[in-house]
Amino acid sequence: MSTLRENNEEAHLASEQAMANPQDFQTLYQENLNLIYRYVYSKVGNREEAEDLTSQIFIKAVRSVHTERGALSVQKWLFQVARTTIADFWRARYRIATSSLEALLDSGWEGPVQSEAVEINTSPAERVQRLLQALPEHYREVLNCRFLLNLSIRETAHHLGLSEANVKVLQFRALRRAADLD
Amino acid sequence: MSGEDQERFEDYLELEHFAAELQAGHVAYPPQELTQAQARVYLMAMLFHAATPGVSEPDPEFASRLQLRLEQELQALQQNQARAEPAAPIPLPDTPKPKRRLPRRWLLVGGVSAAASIALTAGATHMVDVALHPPDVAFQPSRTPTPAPGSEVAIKVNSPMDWFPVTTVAQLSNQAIKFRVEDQHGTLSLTGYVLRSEEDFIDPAGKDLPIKKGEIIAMSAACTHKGCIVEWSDLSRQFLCPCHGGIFNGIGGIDNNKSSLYLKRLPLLEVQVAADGQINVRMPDK
Repeated sequence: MSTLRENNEEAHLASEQAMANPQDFQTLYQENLNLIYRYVYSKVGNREEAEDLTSQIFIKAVRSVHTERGALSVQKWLFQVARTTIADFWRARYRIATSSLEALLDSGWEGPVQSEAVEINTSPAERVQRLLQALPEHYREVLNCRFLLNLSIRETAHHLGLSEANVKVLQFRALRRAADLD
Repeated sequence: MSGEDQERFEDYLELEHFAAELQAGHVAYPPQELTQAQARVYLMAMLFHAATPGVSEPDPEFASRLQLRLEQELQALQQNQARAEPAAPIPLPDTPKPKRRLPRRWLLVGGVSAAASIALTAGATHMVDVALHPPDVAFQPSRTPTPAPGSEVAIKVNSPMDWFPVTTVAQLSNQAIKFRVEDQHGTLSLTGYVLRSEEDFIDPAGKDLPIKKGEIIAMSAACTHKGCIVEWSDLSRQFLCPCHGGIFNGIGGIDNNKSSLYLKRLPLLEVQVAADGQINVRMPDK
């Protein structure tokens, strides 16, 4: 137990030094910016808010690095700040409506705690690939066209030989199935 | 639970509208009233959208803007800490020791320059072939031996000139000093930086003279993309362009690993360091 604490203290000291040393800070920033940005993007879906929230997250992290981080590694801590920042963002938007989205937020937004490590180590793209592999082929195809190939409804319909109405139904059901698998 | 399986035609349309908005890069929100199962469908739509190739990569311009902002935050934090506990002065690499025997030409101004100032007396015109009006020199002699980081020197000249004094070796320390040269009408003619090179550099084209690590160098601060004035980042030891995120290394060069490959390096300016430590920069030919 004492060894664990010592290790944590060492890690803590090391990252405090990283904040003080310009080169280390730069490395730390470059290593984590893409991770955090992608993570945020996958939770808000657009660049404008992803940039805004990513800035908020890093500024919060830098300002409170000495007081609030405890024994977490910088990366884990950044993800923790990211999670609360994103949850606050959605909570503010859905405050009035007693929607299920809010219920999702209150139950942690991120789901069970075990998934934290998965989220840090798995990029949104990897998570999506994993889900796609687990989906039936017709669902996989429609999501692949709509999202990975970035095709419109019309293009997807043409590509798959379906009606546009069909594609709309399929993509809804495919996403719902993916949500069940996740 | 059976309610979750009931789908309305509107659900498909709403989701499709949301997905199309994401695809168009617009800010979009899921509808306010959703069942938990529906909400998860929207979260999935955002996740899948984020997996569209290239979509969830941070824009380089945003990345360097945020970096600059964070470095300012860190600097402010460190200054607060330093105030509580003054740090020991940082030793300088290769600081030339002032020589006892100065050439006569430099003796004229040696006393003034050694006082860590570029306030020029009439004698200064002997030093370099420029005519400067003492009252026009905006930079006042500093009382502190090392100016604050990000210090800027304004230089006013009243006639076309060749060499102009920027700072002294003592003042330069290990920082980058930004200078602005204005003519007698107040028109800005050159903005640049003086700093110590952090690496050896040999111009592959052979146009610039080789630079040694620790050598005092000067360069134009105008970004070679659109001419915005680049800012020196003391923490990351590089120049960042606030306009489009261009990044230049500590000698004004382009990092081949960065996105700014297409840029040209910041043009180097000729520098002359006098025996008394006065640093002069040569106005480039137009």
